[in-house]
Amino acid sequence: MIELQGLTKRYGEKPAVDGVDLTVPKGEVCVLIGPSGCGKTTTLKMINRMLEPTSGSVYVNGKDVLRVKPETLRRSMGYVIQYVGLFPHMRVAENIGVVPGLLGWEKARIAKRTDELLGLVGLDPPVYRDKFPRELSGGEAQRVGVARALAADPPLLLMDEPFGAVDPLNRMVLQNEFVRIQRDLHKTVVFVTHDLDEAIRVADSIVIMREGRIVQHDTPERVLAGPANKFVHDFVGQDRALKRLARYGVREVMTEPAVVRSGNLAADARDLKLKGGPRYAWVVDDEGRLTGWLNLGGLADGTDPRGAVTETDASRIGLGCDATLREALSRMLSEGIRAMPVVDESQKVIGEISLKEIEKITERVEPA
Amino acid sequence: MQPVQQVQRENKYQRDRTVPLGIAVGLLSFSLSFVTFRPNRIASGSGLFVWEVSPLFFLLVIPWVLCGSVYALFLLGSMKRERMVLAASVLGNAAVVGVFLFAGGGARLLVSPDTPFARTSMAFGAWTMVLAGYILIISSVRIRRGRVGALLSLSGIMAVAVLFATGFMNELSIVKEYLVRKDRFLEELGRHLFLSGTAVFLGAVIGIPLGIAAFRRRAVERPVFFIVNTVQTIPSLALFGLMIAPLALLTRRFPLLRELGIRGIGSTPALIALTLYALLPIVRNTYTSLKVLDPAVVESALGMGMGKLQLLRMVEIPISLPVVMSGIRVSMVQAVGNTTVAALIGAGGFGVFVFQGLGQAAFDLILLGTLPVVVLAVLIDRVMQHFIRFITPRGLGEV
Repeated sequence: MIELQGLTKRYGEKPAVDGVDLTVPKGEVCVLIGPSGCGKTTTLKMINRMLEPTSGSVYVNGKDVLRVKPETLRRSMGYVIQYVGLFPHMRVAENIGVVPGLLGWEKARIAKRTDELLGLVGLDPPVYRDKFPRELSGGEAQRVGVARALAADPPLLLMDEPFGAVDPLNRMVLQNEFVRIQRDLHKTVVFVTHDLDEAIRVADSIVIMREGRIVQHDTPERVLAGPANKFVHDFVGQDRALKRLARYGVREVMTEPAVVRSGNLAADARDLKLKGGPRYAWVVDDEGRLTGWLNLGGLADGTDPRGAVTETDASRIGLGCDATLREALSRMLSEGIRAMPVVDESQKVIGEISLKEIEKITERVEPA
Repeated sequence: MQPVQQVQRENKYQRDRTVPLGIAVGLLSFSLSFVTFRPNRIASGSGLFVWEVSPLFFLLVIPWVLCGSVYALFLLGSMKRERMVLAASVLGNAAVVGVFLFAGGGARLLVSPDTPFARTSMAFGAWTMVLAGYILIISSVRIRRGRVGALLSLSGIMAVAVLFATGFMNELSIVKEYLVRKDRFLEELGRHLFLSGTAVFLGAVIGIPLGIAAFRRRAVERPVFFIVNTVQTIPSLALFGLMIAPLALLTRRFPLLRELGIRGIGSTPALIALTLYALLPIVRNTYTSLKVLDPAVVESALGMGMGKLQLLRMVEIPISLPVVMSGIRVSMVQAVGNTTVAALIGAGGFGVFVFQGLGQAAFDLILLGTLPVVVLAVLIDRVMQHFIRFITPRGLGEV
């Protein structure tokens, strides 16, 4: 889909980008990452010719971008930048409709598309379409920025530190939203960031750059499990094992929960013990909602299990089903427990995660 | 809940002392001479207090007394702030109209066959009372509901205009000066508007491109601002004078210019100087409007495929226009004032009356030259203000 061949950009003696060769297949999210000045943004900007290459070529869908007028080229690509750059004198809807307008769409089609996109990025259309950019928060503004970039449904999206100007909490929310949207849209995305956690969260493949050159180009797991050299090793950081855990959602790894019903405590407990059960079981009510936990291991035969129940609720020991393994580990450490139930929005227990499962993941090395 | 809100509201308003200020100034104005009576137009006259003009002077006092009582009621808590302020505005309007009514009427009363050349003009007391009335009117600026407020001030202005139009004020000295030279007045009005208008127009035609160029290139920015700033500091009289010699030389060299009407004195040097003065606000505002344009906006516009022309049309101009217009507004008001001096080198305009009056020591003739300039400047400023608000895109807020 995108091919960079020997792409070079020189400002004076030292090249900012030095002979970069890169292929990004269709539908992949490729993240360019590296320390300041490594050339990641410069590389990105040469794809849509915001900067002109000194030498080398860029092919998008087989076509040489240097042969196309820059304006035409850019209208076929979405471009999202850190400071958003929403047009302050236009309402949200007008902002989103700019590229379709440039392409000559009729008003009705633009309006429909605008509402569709607002819904996609999580902004309620009737509330947001007539707002002005100065009335939006940082997170809302960048959502509009993304919607604006997607307006004409370009197959390719270029994103330059898009969530950099947003506060850390919202940044995570936006990253998750991006992953969700990408799952539906399958755009080809070139994404620049300096935040490794962000890269790990959103990337299908990571390109680590240094001083204008590509140092490693791999999937996130392989970058973390097998850094190519000392630079990458140091860049990735000592906590690579933990970083890897961020790639996994609890849903992918959870196991069948050991559950006893509060209305039928003794019987359920006996059944679990017979099956060669676990040390702990989760106590749920009739609807399956978490109400406490039971120490099966400490229960001698014949004793009333009700005495061994500790009442608690999902907010203390329950893991949200959208959580990552990294959060799971962090919670286990802070609560001092070795297993946690996974609950859905209505606090029903749908699975469980144990420290052992997490260890298995970190020991696993991804196949080549 | 209720009491806390009320206390908060009262605190905010108690800090606003416009109405008592207006009342105080209004009452003070009675201690100053209301009109000046001179035996002829060039002699220095003597001041007359309101009660010396006519026993009907108590009519003038009424609005102030009423206002005082209204304010007292407010302080005692029996009147809401909104009502009080609205009443004060109405009374202020009435007071202003009353001043002109009394001045015009008083002038008529003072006419006597013994003093056929006598002149009556409004003095400090009258003007101070107008000022006090104005203070009362603007006290309602914050709470005024758009239309009501506009109607209020408009009706006051209309009433005064009617007074003048019907000839009721014809015994006032300044009106007499006007009546004597009505045609000349209109002529100079035309010249004044022509000079200021053309100067600003040329200032914009030259200044906007200069501002853009200064923004784009450092090399242009320094000399441009240096020149434009320096010109601004030259006293207008000096600049007008400086124009004469080079222009005279030029027209002697190239007689063709003479035939085109360009001479060393008159409108040509005036226009050149006025245009030079008009440049600074326009150049500076154009430059600033581009400087504060968020570079992220420009980058995202280019990144989404806008060409240079589309960028200009859809983004740069709509966003920077209000600021540029603000510069033009300042330039216009300034030009109207500066044009007054142009009369000194033969260009015409209201300055003609000012300097004639100075030469003749006729006070009201000077006023005849000055007041129209003030009124023009205020009018233009107001009109431009509304125009700018009209063309400012909603999303940009106040400029």
